[in-house]
Amino acid sequence: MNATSVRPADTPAGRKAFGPWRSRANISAWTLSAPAVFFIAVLFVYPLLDVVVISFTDPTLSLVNYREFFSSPLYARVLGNTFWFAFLVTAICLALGYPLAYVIVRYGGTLGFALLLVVAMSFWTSFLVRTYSWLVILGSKGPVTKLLAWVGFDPVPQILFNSFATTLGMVHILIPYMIMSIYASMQKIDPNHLRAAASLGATPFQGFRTVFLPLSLPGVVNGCTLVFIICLGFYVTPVLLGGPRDQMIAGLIGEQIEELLEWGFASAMAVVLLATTMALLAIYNRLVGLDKLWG
Amino acid sequence: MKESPDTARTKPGGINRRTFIGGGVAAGAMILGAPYIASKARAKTKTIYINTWGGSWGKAEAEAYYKTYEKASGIAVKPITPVSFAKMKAQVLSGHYEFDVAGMGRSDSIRGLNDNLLEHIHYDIIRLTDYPPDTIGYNGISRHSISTNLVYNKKKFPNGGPQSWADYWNVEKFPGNRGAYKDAARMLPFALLADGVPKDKLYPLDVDRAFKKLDELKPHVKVWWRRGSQSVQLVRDGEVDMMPMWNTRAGVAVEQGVPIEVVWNQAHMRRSNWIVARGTPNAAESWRFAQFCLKPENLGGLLPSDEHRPVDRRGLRAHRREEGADDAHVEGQPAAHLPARSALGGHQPERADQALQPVAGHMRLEGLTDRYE
Repeated sequence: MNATSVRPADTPAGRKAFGPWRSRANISAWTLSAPAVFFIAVLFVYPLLDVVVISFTDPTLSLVNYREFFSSPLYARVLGNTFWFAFLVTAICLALGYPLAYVIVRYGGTLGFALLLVVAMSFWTSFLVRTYSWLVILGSKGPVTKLLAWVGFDPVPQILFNSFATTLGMVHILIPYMIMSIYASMQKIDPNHLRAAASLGATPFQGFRTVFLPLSLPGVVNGCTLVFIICLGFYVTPVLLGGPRDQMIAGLIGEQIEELLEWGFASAMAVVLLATTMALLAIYNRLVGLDKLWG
Repeated sequence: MKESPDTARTKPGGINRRTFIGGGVAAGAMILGAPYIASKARAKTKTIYINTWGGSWGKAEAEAYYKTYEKASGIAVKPITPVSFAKMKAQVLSGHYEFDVAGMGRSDSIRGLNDNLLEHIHYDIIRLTDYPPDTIGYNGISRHSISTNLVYNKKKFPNGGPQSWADYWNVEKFPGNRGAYKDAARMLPFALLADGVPKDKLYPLDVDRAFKKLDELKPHVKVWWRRGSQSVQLVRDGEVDMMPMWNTRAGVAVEQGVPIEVVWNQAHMRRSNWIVARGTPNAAESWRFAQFCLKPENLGGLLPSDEHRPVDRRGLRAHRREEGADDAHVEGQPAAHLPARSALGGHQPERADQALQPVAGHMRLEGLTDRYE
């Protein structure tokens, strides 16, 4: 083959041949996706099924792990905590991320580029580094404490090792996901739509509310789902920045696996977390429609 | 391309198959609780893998053991970090071994024994008569000990700080931010000691009484630490005024100039054991490596670079001799199984019986977390 060769479909004969080719194209599509399918089956589906099996069979074939989960108020509370926290972080990310993405897309230029660069750099920095940075910034010898003391707070309120610090850290780590996905969908919006709205007499706000906002919703849905799901499984940041009461379910699962070797119980917790997430997504699908996820 | 099995498995610096699979296992286990993904079956080679801590400890260990052992035996030693008991279980259950030998706490030894995860000691290699009594047991052999001590900020308490766990609990007499160690095996005995239980009556632990005492402390705990590095950060940044902390990490903090005082009264001692994963094809080589490390002249080699104290007094003696001290001087030192600073004249318990001898394996760990809130 060389650069001048013509694709079969471009020649009359090729166009004619395209019909019967379709099944062969299907076969090649399958062949191409086979590695990915294999990968997902081996590295995701199988381990996941294994987790479900272990949750019912370790230590014995019974529901004992689930009984333990639901009989202690701690686990339900931590699970509730985790979802509430994921919701809170998602809401804050959205509230902060949407206007930023809007500015980047609508004003563009040097400002947009600079903002985008800042978001991307934050995204590329390891979350551990960012978490430890908050320890320094919010710590009792850090600049924020000094500023509060200078302003006149005495004693200076504790700003580290509580829900506030955890929320701040998590929002900081996850907001790039929100901005990126909203940015991607906003960029696809044709500016002519807004001009058309204006020419029909819409005020800038009306134009935004009835034209721009609905068109940007897929990005919002996508970003919220991403942030929410990642938040559910996150636990390093809450452990380092949070107080004793900011325990996340993923942290408890890790503890059961690593410290107590209770794999059956850990698996049951993971299954409950997964099932709750799926249930929430199902409700969400009913109300909003998951197809919006893919734009 | 032809590669020796060894280079195919491990390339220095890059992501090799082991770390890749290991990372996958860890990530899977953490996120979804997927317990084990079969790792690649390994060919028998002239390399043994040791599960150990990284950082300054790993460096000290590599200097003291790996290189000398490689020189002496021709068998390469490679570290797998960090220490993970869950991985030990995963590899015994799956039959695929990422590491052969590990240095873990003695309570881990006991757990491993209960779950049948440990290779028996090969007594043709580890000869019973070669070691002090009470260093061999639970399918492991003790190498050194570390302790968890009460430390306090000297600047916060210039006129003498808390000297016992009862003082640590006493928020009226010693007001200040408390840090706590998120580890039941240490915090429960500390709570009982604070509640007035004599140390020879601690075990088996009265768990309910301990939790009741912990409830008193709960409102005053600013942060519960879990990782050693985290504890150093907490005292260095002045986040807490008193906290239980490993003597090794406390020593590091003191060397960095952090103004903390290490209290030896009622310190909780823990031993580190050499253990070998059950069924590993390199079992004999692993025990041979452990035997090499336990030789007094090698055991002492680890001392200058860390705070750990060998359980075998002869290791201490060999090390002191290198420093120019005579044996009589060493005999005057605190009992060899007590942790102490490596440098002569450092922080040391005044009396041997001031440090506790826990039998961590006797306590049940199950069901404790749900009360930790």
